[in-house]
Amino acid sequence: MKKTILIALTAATFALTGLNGATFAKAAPNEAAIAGFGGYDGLMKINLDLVARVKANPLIGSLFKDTDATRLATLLSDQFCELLGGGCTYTGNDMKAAHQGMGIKTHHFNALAEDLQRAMDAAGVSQSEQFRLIGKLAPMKRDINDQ
Amino acid sequence: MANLSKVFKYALAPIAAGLALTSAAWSQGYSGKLLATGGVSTVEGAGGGGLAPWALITGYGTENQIGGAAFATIVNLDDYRLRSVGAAVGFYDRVEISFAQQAFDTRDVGTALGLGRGYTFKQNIFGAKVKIAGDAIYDQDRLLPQISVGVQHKQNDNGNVLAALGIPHDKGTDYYITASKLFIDQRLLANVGVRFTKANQIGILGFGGPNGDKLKPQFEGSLAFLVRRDLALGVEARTKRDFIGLDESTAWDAFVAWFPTKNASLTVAYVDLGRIVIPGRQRGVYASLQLSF
Ligand code: HEM
Repeated sequence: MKKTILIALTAATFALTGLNGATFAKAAPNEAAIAGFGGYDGLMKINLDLVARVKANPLIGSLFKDTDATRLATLLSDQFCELLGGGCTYTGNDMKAAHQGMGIKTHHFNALAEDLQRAMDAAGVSQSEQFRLIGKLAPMKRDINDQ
Repeated sequence: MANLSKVFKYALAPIAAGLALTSAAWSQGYSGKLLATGGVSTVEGAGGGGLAPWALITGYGTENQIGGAAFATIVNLDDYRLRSVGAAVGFYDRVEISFAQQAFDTRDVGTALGLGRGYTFKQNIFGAKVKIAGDAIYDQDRLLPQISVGVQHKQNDNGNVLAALGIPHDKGTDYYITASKLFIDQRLLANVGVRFTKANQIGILGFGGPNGDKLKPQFEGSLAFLVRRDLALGVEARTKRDFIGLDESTAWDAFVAWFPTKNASLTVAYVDLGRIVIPGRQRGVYASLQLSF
């Protein structure tokens, strides 16, 4: 545990100082709550994979064509970490403001959810942890969908 | 072998219907619901489990899409065999229209009852269901379940035989209200419903009888656990009333439903339909293939 934090902190320092552009890992205040996702580092990998998948998704990809993958993956990781009890603080826009005017319908929402499920499968996240996260995201559809 | 080819022939119509529906789905682009959340097809054609309808609208259409399902089901009981084929269309995740045709083969019991060996009761069921409140999947932060109301109009073509048994009607209409809720975190789908009906053995033996000719509320419910997002294990129960005086009783089953893709699912169950005319409970195997979009 200590070692992971140390590694994560070191990685974060590298990231901040620009010595290691590929790793942006940091440790969550409560890594145990997100251990099933491989900690904060694991969430970050899953979300980078997710953003790559949504960019390639024929149904929703065009919306993300200019998206900075690392920025969005970081915001998503903070958000998921917070939702899962990892103690992070999400600092991005609220869901309503972030998605307004995109014309998002339930099938778009589910297309992204399915890409997330695939990314979690690829990362070896257990079914029970996957359902735990999906259960937290489901009610956000109200704010994300265009009414 | 003969049996197998029969099953094949029997499955062909829904497969053809399913393919037609699927190509319709392609033309509109996408089956937008999450896997398994369209449910399977009940023996009466409505979307749900095998015996009890859910409040969810059948198929994979979301609020701006049309979804649908076609199915073939066989229930092999100790002394009878029930076959049901049908299809349902879900409009905009709001309204569901369904049709099922059932054939209830009495096999040797037909001989004993003087109807002839393999006498088969047939029934057509026209159904409609409307979602009136809630959302079973997305309202994870609310207690309100998804609630739907439905009707099933049933036409049985055995009026003469039924009249001889003292059963007054060969047509009848069931009305039901059903509530479904998926608890994603617990991976449980719970469903409860009340059906107002005077059907005997879901209508196969007509409607009403010496013990009554009024619609009576019956309970139906199911509980399913999502082992994975493509695999559910569950139980269902459905009470039935004894209008004829032949000890008709509660039916229940334990099922496994597998959803390899949004276009196909397979459900296998152990069923106990209770007593059906002759003494002893009728138990057996339920198998259902569904094609959907
Ligand atoms: C549970 C589902 C979702 C969550 C948790 C989520 C979360 C987020 C977050 C945290 C942001 C960053 C907000 C900011 O910049 O401050 C964002 C941006 C965005 N979201 Fe979502 N979102 C979801 C669903 C969707 C869906 C279904 C779509 C479209 C199909 C979508 C399209 C976008 C786009 C295009 C952006 C802007 C990305 C950019 O910076 O270029 N989101 N989302």
